[in-house]
Amino acid sequence: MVFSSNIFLLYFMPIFFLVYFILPKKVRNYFLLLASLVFYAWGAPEFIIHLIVSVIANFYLVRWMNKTEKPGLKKLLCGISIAISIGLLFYFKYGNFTMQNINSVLGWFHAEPLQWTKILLPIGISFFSFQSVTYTLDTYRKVNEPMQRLSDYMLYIVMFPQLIAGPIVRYCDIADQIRNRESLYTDRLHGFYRFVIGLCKKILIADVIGFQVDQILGPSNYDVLTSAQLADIANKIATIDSTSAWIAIFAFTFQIYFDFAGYSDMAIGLGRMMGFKFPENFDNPYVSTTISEFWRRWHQTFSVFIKNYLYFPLGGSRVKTEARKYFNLWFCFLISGLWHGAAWNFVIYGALQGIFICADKLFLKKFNERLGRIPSVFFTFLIIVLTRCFFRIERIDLSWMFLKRLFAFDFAPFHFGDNPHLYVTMIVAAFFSFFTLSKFGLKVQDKVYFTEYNRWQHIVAFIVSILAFIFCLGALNASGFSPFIYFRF
Amino acid sequence: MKALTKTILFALTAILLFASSLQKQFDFHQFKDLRGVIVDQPMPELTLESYRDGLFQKQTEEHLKQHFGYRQPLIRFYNQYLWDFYRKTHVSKEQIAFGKDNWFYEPGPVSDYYQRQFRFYAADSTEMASMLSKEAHRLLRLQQVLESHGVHLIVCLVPAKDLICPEHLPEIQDTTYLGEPKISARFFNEKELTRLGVNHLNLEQWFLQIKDTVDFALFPKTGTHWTKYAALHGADTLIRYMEHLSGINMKNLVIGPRELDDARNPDDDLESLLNLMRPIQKPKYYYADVMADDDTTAIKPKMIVIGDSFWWTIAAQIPLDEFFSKAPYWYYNSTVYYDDRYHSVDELNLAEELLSSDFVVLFYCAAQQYRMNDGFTQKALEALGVEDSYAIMDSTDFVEREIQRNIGKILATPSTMERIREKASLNHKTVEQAVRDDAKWIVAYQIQQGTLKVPNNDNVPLDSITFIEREIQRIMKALSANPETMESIREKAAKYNKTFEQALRDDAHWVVNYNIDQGTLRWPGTTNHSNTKSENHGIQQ
Repeated sequence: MVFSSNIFLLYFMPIFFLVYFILPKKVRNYFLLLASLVFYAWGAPEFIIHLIVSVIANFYLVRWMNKTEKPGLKKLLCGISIAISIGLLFYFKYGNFTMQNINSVLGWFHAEPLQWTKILLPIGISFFSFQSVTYTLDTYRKVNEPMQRLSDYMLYIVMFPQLIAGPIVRYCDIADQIRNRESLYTDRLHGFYRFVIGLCKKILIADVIGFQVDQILGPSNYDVLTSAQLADIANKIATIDSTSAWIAIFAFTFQIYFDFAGYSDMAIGLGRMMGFKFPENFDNPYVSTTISEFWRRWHQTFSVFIKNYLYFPLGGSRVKTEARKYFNLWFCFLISGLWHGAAWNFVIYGALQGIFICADKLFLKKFNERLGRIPSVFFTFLIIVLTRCFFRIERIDLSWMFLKRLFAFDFAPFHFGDNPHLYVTMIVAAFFSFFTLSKFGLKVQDKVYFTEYNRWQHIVAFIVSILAFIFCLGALNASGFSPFIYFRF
Repeated sequence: MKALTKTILFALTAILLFASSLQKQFDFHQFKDLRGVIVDQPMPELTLESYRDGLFQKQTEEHLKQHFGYRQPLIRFYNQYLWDFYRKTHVSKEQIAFGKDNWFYEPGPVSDYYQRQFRFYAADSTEMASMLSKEAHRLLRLQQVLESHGVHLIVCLVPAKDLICPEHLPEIQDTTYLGEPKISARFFNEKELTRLGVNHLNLEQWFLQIKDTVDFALFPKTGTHWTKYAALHGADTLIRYMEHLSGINMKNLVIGPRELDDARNPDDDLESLLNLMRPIQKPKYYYADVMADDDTTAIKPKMIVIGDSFWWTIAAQIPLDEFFSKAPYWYYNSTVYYDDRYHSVDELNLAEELLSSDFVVLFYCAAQQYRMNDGFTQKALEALGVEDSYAIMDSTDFVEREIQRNIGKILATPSTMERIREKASLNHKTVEQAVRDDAKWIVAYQIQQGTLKVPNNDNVPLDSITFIEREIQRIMKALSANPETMESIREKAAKYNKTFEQALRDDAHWVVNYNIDQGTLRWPGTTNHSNTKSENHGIQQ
């Protein structure tokens, strides 16, 4: 079930909150757990059992790990628990990719390919696997005591607002809120406003732009396409003029931001309505002056996860040689790229980001400082835009071909009237992406998102939210439906 | 006080979130239905299998999307925004062609104005010409047979908006077939029917003549059919033509005082597909009440009309029973209206129906002449026991012979051969192929110009209409073999007050159109018809 669907907006959400707020506080968690299981089971009936079994196994393993005094056994149980989470992730997400590559290698030696039945990717597995890892490691590191109740642990893993696409909530950030939280009317209203902001980002910006990007570049998920359709896409890319290519890649850059940030806003808003304080996931990433800053602002909970659970264990920056330090950085981004999808284009994407991060440390940051703030923001943005080619186009040869088309200087005349809806939406997207470059923008953002409202501000926010909600419902039903990009990851 | 405000606002939020469900349940407000075809998705039955494969969830979501409270105003509201700000709509290009100054056209006639429409029905103009010629000969034969029984056949070419109002037409964007020989069925048929002596009334030509002299609009800005008022004049002319042809005295049409109106029977069928909140600005059109005069000596003949939707405009305004003893309307030669009951043409005894009539009127829009009367002539001839023995020469052979003759001419002309060699090399063709293509082009051009007459033929490749009909029959058979599908069609028939056969046929027709749209079904003799859509399809919302 996706947030931007009729079933969620008109049925699941109203009924859930009605029952949730009517119930006494002590049973609300049970109801939230039940609703979350229904939410997941609706979209992934085949995987709900896997999810439940792995959660139960992990819960008892971690409890055992916490009780035992033997360091060796503790380590072993920690390893098993992580192996379950990462093993499931690897099996479901990278199984097909691994076998495909093994068979390619076997093909070089004219060996028989290995038999393998293609498996489907359970939605949200990348997110709940990571949460499960944070629980095990935070308990192992004694940051938090483990949960006493299975239901509480299960709730932490499967809570529907962030189950499918994050934010990745670390156990230590939410442990106390699960047992102890207040849901004041202020939270409920602010949560609803935040949810509507996310819905607008998704439906009014990301979907509008995404539809046009698909028109220009073809669908993004190549797994489901026939060879004829792939050939058609290849032909489209090979013959695209530079104007359309630039429009497409800028559009995609905005689409992915508003899509994912929209989802995060909705998740944070829903959580807040129940009294949870989920961590923020985006902090105006496109106003970054360096690539390093960009990754501190983009998908923040994921970056924090990689930093705490991969970069630091690798030694972080406290290593003997400079080369090792840069390798650690680069490797973390390589893995981040692979996390986004089991395909070589994502590996390239991650590797490129890693190279730019290293370049930042070596010289790029200084270069950007000399450029000044505004030019460095646009220079960084341009790098992000260009590397997005490898993110959007799932075949490396086609990504490369597309890059060449960008710089073929084969510009077709641009007519605003050809697609005013797209261009206006892109202008709006650009405005909100760079709005916080100014102090005024930051002030407005702070006021809207993080400051308590007075009575009149509440009334205005309420009216605007309701109108926006109605408008989104109209857009959703008039123009079809599209799932979130990050569901695939 | 602040706390109270928040409590009230939260309560209001909760109420608003439930507003849709409450509206659905209690139907507080009535809204105008959205226009366009919706393939209704009933609430699916929950089974373990349907749940596990996700079908239950998918169908439930689709059902809820189609049936939630305030759906109509929400969609209209957003559509209005898109239209007002961006001139954008979700109606596909296959349904509306947006002309200049907010004039709307149907894409078929627009394509016919630029003489491209034949490409949806035939591989090239040569093939189209032979198909049309064959149909004209069938009409002649049918006219002869019917006349021997005292029945008059009339082919009426109803005016299409593209030719009458070309000043607002959109510019042609598609240059795919530019430079190829063209053909337009409306002009071809006019020549061919005149040449063969088939009774026909070309209302389109008449509209063209009166266009600049009349003080009323012949076509509305945002509709595809003639204005209601213009249709009355068309009907009057038809009645006079019937009298002239048969020599009988019929009642005269009396058109009452006209009045300008913008609310009564708005001529906005294309605009309505946009599902907007408020109408597009357009001029007022004339409307008038009509009746028959009180000529007691007049005879009321029986008439059968086989035609497209242009007849609705007449049938909805004129008291036909005052002019005709019976005037059933065989809509697209498929469903019978204005008869004792609503039923399928297939249920009729065709010969009996035809021979018991005084007039058989083929009433198709001039831009719809490619439909070849929806197979009526062929079926009528079969029903009347007439074999296609009137054929004097096979046109496929004739055309091939002409092509060969031109190949010979080309081969004998060195300068032409030199030019063709260059063309062949440029287009990566063999010289033989290029010579043949040029010869074919010459033949097609001669047919288009009327300098080469194609004899009738009976062995042309399967034409598209027959092809579609065959596909419909095949799908109908397949659907009939599935008891679950049959049950669902039965329910649908009851719900929409259709006969079972009609509902079955409609479903099959939908499937065929869908397959053509998807490119999984291709029309004979063509390479790509993926852009083709039946005009019966509305937008799915």
